[in-house]
Amino acid sequence: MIIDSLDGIIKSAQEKGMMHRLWCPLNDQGATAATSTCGYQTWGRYLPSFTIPSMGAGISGAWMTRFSSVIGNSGVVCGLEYSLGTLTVSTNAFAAGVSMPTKTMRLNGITSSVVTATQRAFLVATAALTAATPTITITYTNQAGTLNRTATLVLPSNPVKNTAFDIIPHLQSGDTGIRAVTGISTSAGSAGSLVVYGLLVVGTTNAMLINSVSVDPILTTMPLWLMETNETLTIYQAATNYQTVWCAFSAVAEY
Amino acid sequence: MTIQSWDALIARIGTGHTALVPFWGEQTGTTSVCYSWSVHNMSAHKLGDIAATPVLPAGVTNYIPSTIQLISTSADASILVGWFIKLGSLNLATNAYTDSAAMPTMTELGVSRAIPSHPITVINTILGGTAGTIHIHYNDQDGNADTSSADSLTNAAVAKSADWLYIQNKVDSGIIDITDAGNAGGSSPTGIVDFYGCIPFAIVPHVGLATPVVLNLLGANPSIHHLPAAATIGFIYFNSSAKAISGNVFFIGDSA
Repeated sequence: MIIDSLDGIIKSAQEKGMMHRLWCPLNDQGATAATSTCGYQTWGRYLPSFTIPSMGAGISGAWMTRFSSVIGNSGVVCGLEYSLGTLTVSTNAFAAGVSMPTKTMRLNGITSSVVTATQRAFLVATAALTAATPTITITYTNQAGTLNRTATLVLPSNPVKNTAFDIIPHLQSGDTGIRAVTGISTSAGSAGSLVVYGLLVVGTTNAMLINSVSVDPILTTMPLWLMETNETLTIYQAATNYQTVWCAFSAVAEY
Repeated sequence: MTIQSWDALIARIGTGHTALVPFWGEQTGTTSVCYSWSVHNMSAHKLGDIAATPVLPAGVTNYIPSTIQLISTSADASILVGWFIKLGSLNLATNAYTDSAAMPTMTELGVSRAIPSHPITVINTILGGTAGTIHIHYNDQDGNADTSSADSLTNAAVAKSADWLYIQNKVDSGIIDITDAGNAGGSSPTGIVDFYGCIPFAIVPHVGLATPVVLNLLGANPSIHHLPAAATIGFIYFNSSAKAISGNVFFIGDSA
């Protein structure tokens, strides 16, 4: 059954049951402040990620119908996350990850299969770096499938674990996203690791002051991306703070 | 479950298959942050299980919450609203754990399973002495047994203070049961700590004293739940101030 109406959501909820979760990922390391050479806006990655659980026979995935969160300050992005490639700083060795997935997309009543590109792309220190202002060069395939594009970021020295640098401002001119990463290298450094993560965004919320937070789900009533079993949701926050985020979300099955 | 459309939901209202549960609650003093680790940087408290679904009448298989309305004397705080399940309690003085329920088994996305939740700590009685650390033994979202890392309680944390419990470093996104808990490292600690899980309806803002919170669970951004009798609806307020709240929860009775 294609979810294309409020009645469809009710019918699916009644027949298959919606998924409801309270999920509190944490950034216990904070984030090193970004500069104009590494994303402009400071972001932190929150763990653990949430793994989409198994679904019943005939269910192709789940649509996020409600996403809400509360955090001490700043905005939150929740997305399906894909690990596109890893750099081990000490050896300057690159290990390829996955490519962005092919997803079912529905627009104006037409269902089609599309090769996705990142809606957000972050270079994340998954282990703290020992590196003096390293220049990071990322080689990638862009949103149109063009190979061997490059993005260059100059990071601050020794970024802490969980720091996420926004790659999008540093994509080659004319590019809007990444389908796959084919190389990552650094000009300096003796320890740490960097991973390029691509996101397909399923929820964005805002927040205000510590102890004075007001968050409302601003997700559209029909989010774009169908969440499939074993895909992972991850939270990113636009701030240097180390803290947790309380997330409450609901999703409905498509079958 | 013959209700499979908006019209069918309205028809159940038309035939009187509805319930309204009024509630009120108060927090008479400022509450505490439960833990001293600075990453616990949001004050919060739980205002008790202040509404429970009634006995299921004939012809009603479960309750579908449709709307929650509340007015509070506190503003500028977000509120977590959901079905709260008490998982157990720890008496710090005796280091004795009393087990309660596990997270309920329900059908979600076509699979029947225990629904995981991030565990929540709620101070039941004010902590005395030097509180020390606590930890829990639990079954994670996949049913695997694990033990949380020790987290340091805040001395003299007052009743109703609430916070998340530290399992994130175990790469667990939730738990389905707490099987044991313990405390260590304190000096003559006293007080009782309760543990809860939550199946959330939503986190909603409360932005002004004169602005009631109206949470529509069936309209835009639907979050459709199926609650049994005696399910306790609770609230976590994300601030520390004293307050009173009152309101109503509306339910539509589901049919077989």
